[in-house]
Formats: sequence, structure tokens, C-alpha cells
Amino acid sequence: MKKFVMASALLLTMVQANVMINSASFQEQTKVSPSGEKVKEWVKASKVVPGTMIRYVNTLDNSGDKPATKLVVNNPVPENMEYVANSASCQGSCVISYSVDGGKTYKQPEELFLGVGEDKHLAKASEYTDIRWVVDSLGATSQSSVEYKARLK
Amino acid sequence: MKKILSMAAILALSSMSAMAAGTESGTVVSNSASLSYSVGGATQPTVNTTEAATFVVDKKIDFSVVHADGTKHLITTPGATEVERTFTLENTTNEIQRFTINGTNLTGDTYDSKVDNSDVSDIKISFEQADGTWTAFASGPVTIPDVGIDGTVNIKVQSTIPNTNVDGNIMNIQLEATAIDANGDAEVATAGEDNKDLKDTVLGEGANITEFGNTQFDGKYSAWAGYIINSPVLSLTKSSCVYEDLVSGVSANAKRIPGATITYLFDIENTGSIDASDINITDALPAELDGTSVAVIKMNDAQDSCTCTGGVAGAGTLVDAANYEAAQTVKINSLTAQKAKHNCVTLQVKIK
Repeated sequence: MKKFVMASALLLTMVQANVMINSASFQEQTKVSPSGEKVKEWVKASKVVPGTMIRYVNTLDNSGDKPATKLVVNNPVPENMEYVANSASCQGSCVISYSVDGGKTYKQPEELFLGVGEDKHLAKASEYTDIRWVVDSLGATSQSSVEYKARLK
Repeated sequence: MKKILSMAAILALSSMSAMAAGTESGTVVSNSASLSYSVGGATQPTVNTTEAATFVVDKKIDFSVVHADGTKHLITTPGATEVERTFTLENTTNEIQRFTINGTNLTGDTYDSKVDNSDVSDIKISFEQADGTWTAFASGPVTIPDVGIDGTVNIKVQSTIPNTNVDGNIMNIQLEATAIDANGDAEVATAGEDNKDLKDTVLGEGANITEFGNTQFDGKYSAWAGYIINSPVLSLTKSSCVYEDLVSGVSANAKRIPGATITYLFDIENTGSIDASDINITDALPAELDGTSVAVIKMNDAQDSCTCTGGVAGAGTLVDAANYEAAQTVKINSLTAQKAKHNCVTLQVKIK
């Protein structure tokens, strides 16, 4: 029995890849280069007023020694923010889907409807409530990221 | 089921209360995500972001002033007082904001293709308070306290039109609003690097607005309105001809001899842009004429010209007896003069 418990613990240790997720926000800023040209760059979001577009980047960090598979990232669009159409992306390949019901169901944009009867309409990007990225795998000791843009109402 | 309905109601309310000013300043916006994954076919515990991306919404001072009564240049007359123009101030700052407003006379500025060439005086301002009452008219600057998010304030500006103005004069005025802080000082943008955890101030008014002398992002916003003088411009020409004498009778050949009847013609020409009324003519007759014989006073208005023709009675309608005094000094009152016309007044008087 003791042997079985130890073996189980060992197995658990072996399969415990350690994937962390971290979120950061950025906003576009125009700076003047030394040559005098105006250059846009993403900086940490700080001066944010209504209308400002924010780029959210979720970093996935697998510090374990095993690859992680079937990674699913769910990101509710924060209150007071509106998702910017076609802005969700990822490093490498992934499948992106969206929700308009607070994350209960996720579908492709052309399948997302709101309202009933005469009010039924294809959901606008600004009406998305959640975004989902499905990534096949993340290698051991590897990083990747998924991101989207949203505008402050 | 009840819970679902409640949630739906809150969402609907949130949607209905969406504001043009946007998210209120000081609001903390936080983004976090969750991650599920498998390792070696074994599902791992879901993890959440170790540190959410968070910032505090800054204060964006944004507002506008628009001229609101629909007439760019209001027609007025010389000497008019308390001539009102109306404006509306809208606060689209993402928090309650305080303002001062001030009305000024513009000099030489062009508004709606009309160049300012005269001045108004005694500009005073009043605004509609939250309870619907209006403040007493006062010289600016006037403070408007605490305009709510997306709130509007109706404003009236009164001007006096100096009576030295002439037909066609243009007077343009400006109403300028300035965002001020609780101490009454003009709002300024927070200097230096922004702190994501603090509410800073950004001046964001007047974006894309370059008219009315506005400078973007300076915490001020102006709108213009104008006045245009419409007044009659009158000239009076007096001439005479002989209607009859005691030798030739009523004849074009009648002469100016004692006992002859003279027709006097007063040609009142109005070259102004509006009709004139209440015109009074006073004419002191020469001593050689018999003031007691003054008669047949007629008005023939809206003519292209006035002509005094010997032997022909003056045209038009008789002036009501209540509106003239037949004496050595003749007074004819309450006449009118249509714009762009000659208005012909005639009377007959005998030579002593």
C-alpha cells in the first residue's frame, strides 16, 4: 500500500507541468524618434481615458519539463471595455472563439446572435463578453501568448 | 430563474445608462484570464492569472459649447437692449465638472461669411440651473457649478446694440467656457509620466474643432453668434409745382401768382432693408404762403418714383385728419415708408 502511494505521488510529480498565465495591458503611444519621425509603440497602459484602445496580452509560461496540451484560455472582456473586432490573435496556431453570454457558450463570430424575434441580430464585436483561445500544445520550458484589443467605453 | 431575470435587468440598465462621456474617472479596470490544460493526457487544475492587468481610468475633460437658437445672425435694430442669443454647454467629461463662462464682443472676426464691423456692449450672461430657474443676468465670467456627466446647461447671452449702428452692420460675439477645478482655477493636464494606479487629468476637449478660435486640448471651448442691423435708410426731397392759378385755372400752365395753389411734394425714399413706420414730417411754410389754406394732404406709398406735375392733383389717398395739422408749420404724422420704394406725400397751399 505504501509503495502504491509513493508511486502515485511520483506520477503526480512527473505530470505536473507548471503553466502560469499572466496578463498585461498596453496602449499605443506616439513618440518622436531621434531622426524626428513619429513612431507608434505599445507602452504599459497608464494614461487611459474613454476611447483609449488597450492591447491585452496574456502570457503562457510553461516552466515544467513536460509539454502542456489542450490549453484553453478564457478571458472575460473587462467591464467598461469593448472588444475590438478581429483583434484577437495568438503566437503560433490556435482556434479563437467568442461568447456573448458571459462565457457559457463559445462560437465563431458568424454564429453569434443576440436578441429575439425582430431584434435578433448578428452580435457586434463590441457585444462579445468573453474570448477563448484553444492552443494545441505548449512545449516544456516554453512561453507563448494570446492577445486581444479592447476600447474603454 | 429569478436570478437570471435579475441579472438580465441589471445588464439592460447598464446598457441604458451608457454615457457619451464614457467610463467614469477613477474606475478600476482589471483584465484577468483563466487557463486549463492537460499534461500527458491528464487534466490539470485550472489556473488564473497571477497578476491581473489593472489600470485606473483617468479624467478626460471634454465639453462643448454650441450656439443653440438656430439663427446665426439675429436681425436687430440700433438702440435695442437685452438682445438675447442662446447657447448650450454639454459636459462630456467622464466626471462632474465645473465651468466658468464669459461673453465677449468680437472685433473683425468673420462668422458665417459675415465680417464683424461693429460692436455690442453690456454683454451679460444667465444660465438655467438644475431646478429650471435662471440666474440673474450678470457680467462674466460666471461660474456654473457641478455639471453632471453628459449634462447640458442652457445659457443666454444678452447684448446692447448701440444706436450708432447703421443698416447692415454686423456684430459677432463669443461665448467661451473654461473648465475649472474646485478652487476656481483653470483645469490643467497632469504633468509628467502617468501613474496607472492614480486618476490623472487629461485635457481632451475640442478634438477636431478649429473654428470659432478654438484651440484643442486647452480646457476651453467657444462658440459664436452674431447680430445684423436691419434698419430703414430714409431721405427726404421736397419739390413743388403749380396746381392752379386764378387766371389759367387748373392747368399745367398755371403760374406762381398770388392766390395760386401750389402742390408740395415730399419724396420719402427708403433705401434701407426694412420698412419704416411712424414717420413724422414737419414743414415750416414760408410767410408768403397761407398756412390756413393747407389741404388735400395725400400719401402715395410704394412708388418707383415721385413726380410733381403742374395742373395735376397729387395721387394717393387722403391722410386722415387726425394725422396732420394744417397750419403755418405743417405737421404730417404716422407715415410709413416701404423699403426700396419712394413714398410720395403731397399737400396743397395757396400763395398769399
